[in-house]
Amino acid sequence: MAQPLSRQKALREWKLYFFILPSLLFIGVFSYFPAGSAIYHSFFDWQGGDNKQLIGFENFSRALHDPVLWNSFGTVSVLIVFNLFKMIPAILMAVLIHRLKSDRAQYGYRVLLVVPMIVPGLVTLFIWKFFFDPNLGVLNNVLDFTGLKTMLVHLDKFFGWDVFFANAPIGWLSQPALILPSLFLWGFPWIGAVGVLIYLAGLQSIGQEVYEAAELDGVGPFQKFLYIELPLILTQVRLSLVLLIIGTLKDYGLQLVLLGDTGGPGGRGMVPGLWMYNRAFIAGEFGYACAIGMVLFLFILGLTYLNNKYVRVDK
Amino acid sequence: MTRAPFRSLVPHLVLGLVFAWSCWHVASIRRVAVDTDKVTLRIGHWMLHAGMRESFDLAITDYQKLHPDVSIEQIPVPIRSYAMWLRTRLVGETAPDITGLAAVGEEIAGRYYLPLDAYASQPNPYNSGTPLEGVPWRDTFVDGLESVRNLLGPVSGELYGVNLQINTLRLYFNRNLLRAVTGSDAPPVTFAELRALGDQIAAYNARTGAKLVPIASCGPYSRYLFNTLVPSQTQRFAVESSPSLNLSVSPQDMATAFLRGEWSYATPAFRSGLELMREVTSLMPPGFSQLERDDALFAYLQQQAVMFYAGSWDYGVLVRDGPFQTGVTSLPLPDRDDPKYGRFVLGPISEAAGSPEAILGITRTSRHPEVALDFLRFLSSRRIATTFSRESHRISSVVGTPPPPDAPGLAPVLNGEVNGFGIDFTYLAGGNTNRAFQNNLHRALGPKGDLDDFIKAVETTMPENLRRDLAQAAFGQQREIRRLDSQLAFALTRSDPKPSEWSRLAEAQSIRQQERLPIVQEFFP
Repeated sequence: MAQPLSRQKALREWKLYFFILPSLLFIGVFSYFPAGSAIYHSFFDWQGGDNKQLIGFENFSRALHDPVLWNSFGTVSVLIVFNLFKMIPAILMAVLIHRLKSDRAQYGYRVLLVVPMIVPGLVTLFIWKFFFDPNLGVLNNVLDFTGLKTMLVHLDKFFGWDVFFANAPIGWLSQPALILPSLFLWGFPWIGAVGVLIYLAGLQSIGQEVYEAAELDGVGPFQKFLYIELPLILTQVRLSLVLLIIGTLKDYGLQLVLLGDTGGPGGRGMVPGLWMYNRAFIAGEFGYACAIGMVLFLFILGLTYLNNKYVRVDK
Repeated sequence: MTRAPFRSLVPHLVLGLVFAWSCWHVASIRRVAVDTDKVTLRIGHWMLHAGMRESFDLAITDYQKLHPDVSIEQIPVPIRSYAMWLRTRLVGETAPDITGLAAVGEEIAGRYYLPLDAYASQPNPYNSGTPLEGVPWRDTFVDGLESVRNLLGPVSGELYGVNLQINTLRLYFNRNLLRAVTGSDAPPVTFAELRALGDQIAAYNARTGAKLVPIASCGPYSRYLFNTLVPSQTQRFAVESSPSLNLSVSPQDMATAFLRGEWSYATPAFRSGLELMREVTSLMPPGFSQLERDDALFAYLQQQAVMFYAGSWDYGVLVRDGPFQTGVTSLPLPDRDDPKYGRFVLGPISEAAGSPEAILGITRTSRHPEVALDFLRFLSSRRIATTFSRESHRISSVVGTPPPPDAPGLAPVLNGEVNGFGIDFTYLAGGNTNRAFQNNLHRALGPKGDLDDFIKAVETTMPENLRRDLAQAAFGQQREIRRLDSQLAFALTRSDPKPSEWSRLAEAQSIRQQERLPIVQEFFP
C-alpha cells in the first residue's frame, strides 16, 4: 500500500504537476465547463441564443411543480426495476460460461458475446423499432405464428386489459398501456456483453480449491451458485448496480428513437432525460432544461450516496 | 510456429490490417487546394428529398460558370437533427453563409440573419430577359414573401429569408390498385366517396385475401391529414366567431376563448372535427401513430396501401421509386351536402396562403454577404426556379414558373373559401397544450376510442396548460417588443432617420403591445 506523501516532498516535485495540466485542462474544458455552464444557465430564462434574463430560482420552482417531470421519475423508477431484473440473465450466462470445462468453448462464447458490440447502438435501436412494427414487425409475426397472440387475446378478455384485439395487430408503441411492457421487452434476451464479461472476470478470480471443497461437501450446482459464486461476485454486481441506476436515470436515447420526443402516446415513455431534451430542443426552453438537468444530477447524486452507504459487500 | 502462438497472432494481424487500412484511407483523402482568390460560399439545408440536392447541384454549377471566382459548397443535414445543428452553428458563429430557416423563431432570425427588406424592393438582375425583368424581387414571389415575413418577422415585420418553393399536401393514389379495387382509376372527390372507397377496399380484401390499407400513414403525416380535415369543420365557425373580426382564429384567440369558457371541445364545430378525425383513422393502418414517414412511404411503395397523404416534397420519391403510376388529387373534404359534417362547411378551401418551403436566409456571420445575396437572387430567378421545379417535382414560389410537367395537380388551388383552423393548439407557444392533446389522442382514436373520455382527459389539465402557454407567448412577445426598442432608438437617432423605417417599427411595436396587454391584464394581473 502506498505511503502518504509529506507536503514538503509533494511540493518539492512541483514541476511534475505540469505533466498533468494538459489532461486537467481538457477535462476542465470538455467536462466541467459544460456542467458549470448548465448550472449558470439554469438561473436564466434562456432560449439558446445571446438573450437571457436572470430569473433566479424560478426554473427550479417550476420544476418542483412540473407534473410531467415527476411522472417521468415514476416511469424511470419502473425502468430501474426492469433493468434490475434484466441483470439476472447476464449473471446466469456468466456462470454458465464459467462452468464450461473446455477453455476453447469459453473463449468461443466470449467472442460470440463481444462481436455484436461492434454494431452501433443506434442501429440496434432501429432494428428493435422494426421488431415492434405492428404490421411488418417480427414480434407480431412470431406471436401470430406461434398462437401466442390468441392466448394474449383471451387473457386480455379475462383481465380486461383492452390492449390485445383479435382483429387488429398489436400496437406495441402506439398504445399507452403497452409502452412500458415494450421497454421491458427491449433487448431480449438481456444478455449484455459488458455485464457478462464483468461477472465472468469476478467468477474467474474464485479459486479452484473452493469448488473442490464444495464438491467434497456434496454441494449441488444451484447451491454452488447461491453460496459460492454469487457472494463472491457481489462486488461486480454492486458496480453494475451503480452503473445501471445512473445509466437508466440519465439515458433517453432508447425512448427518443422508439417513441419520439413526446414519450409516445399518453407520454407514458417520458423519462427525465427526454423531458430535458424536449424542453431544450423542441420548446426552446434551454434555461429550464438546464434546471431539469440539475434536478436529475441531484437525484443521481443522492441515489449514488445511498448505494455507497447501504449496499455493502462483506468480504 | 506452434498452433497456439499462431492463433494468438490472428487478432493482432486483424487489428494491424484494419489500422493500416484506416491510415491509408486518411492519407489518401485529397485536400482540395484552397484558392485564396476564390470566394467560398457554404449553403446548409435539410432538403434531402429526391431531386432537391440534385437541383442545388445544377444551380451551383450554373452559378459557378457565371462566376468562376466563387466556389459553393452544399451542406445537406438530415431533418431530424437539423434544428439542433443549426442552433449550435448559429450560437457558435460557425453557420454556413446561407442556411435553411427551419425551427427558427423571430428572436433567432433577428439575431443571426440579415434582414432583406432593403434588397427585396430592388429587381432581381437574374430575371432580365424574362417577364419578371425590372419587377421588385419581392413581387417575383407568388405571395410577395408575406408568408415568410409572417413566419419569421411577425412582430418586427422584417424579412429574413426567401422561400424557393411552396408546399401543398396531396392525396397520392396507386392507379393500378385503385383500378383493381373499383374498376376505375378515378380518385374519390368527396369525403363520402372516400368513405365508400374504404368500404370497397375492405370488400376487396375479404374477396381476395389481400391486406390493403386505404391510406398509408404515420405519426407525423397523420397530423397533416388531421390538420387538413379539421379546418373544414371550423371554417364557418372562424368566419362567424373570429374574435379579431378578420375571418380567422389565431392560436392565442383560441386559447383565451377556452380559458374564458366560451369555447370547449364540446362546442359542436370542434366536436365534429374530432369525430371526423376518428372516422378517418379507420382508413389508416393500425398503430399508425408509432410509425415514421419512411414506414408509411415503404407501405405505399410496396403496394400495401392504395393511397398516401403526403406533401408535395414527397412526390419526387414516389415518381422515382414507385413501380406503378401515382395519381395526385386533393384530399376529399366534406362538402356542404355531407349529411354528417356539411353543416359546418363553408365551401372548398383556397390554398392561396400557401406554406412556404425551402426558406433560405443569409447569416450575419457570412464573410461574403453580398455574394450570398447574389446567389440567393440567382436561386430565386425564373430560370433556376424552373430547373428546381422540373428536377425536384415541387411547386416553385416564383411567379409564372410552370409546375412539374408530370404533376400539375401539385399546384396550389387558389380559388376557394377561407380556411378554418386546427383545434390542437399546434402553433401556441410553449407547446404544453398541444402535448396534452397529442398525448391523449389515443383515447379518441384507439380501437375502443371514446370522444367524451378524450375531452374529459384533455380539459382536466387544459386551464393550467393554456395559462403556461399564454404566459410563454406573452413573455416572448414582450421580449420582441423590447428588442424593437433598440431598433427604434437606432432608427430615430440616425443622422438621416427614415420615416418609413421608424414608423413601421413603431407601428409594429404598438400593435403587438395592444395584442399582448389585454391577455396579460386578464389572465396575469
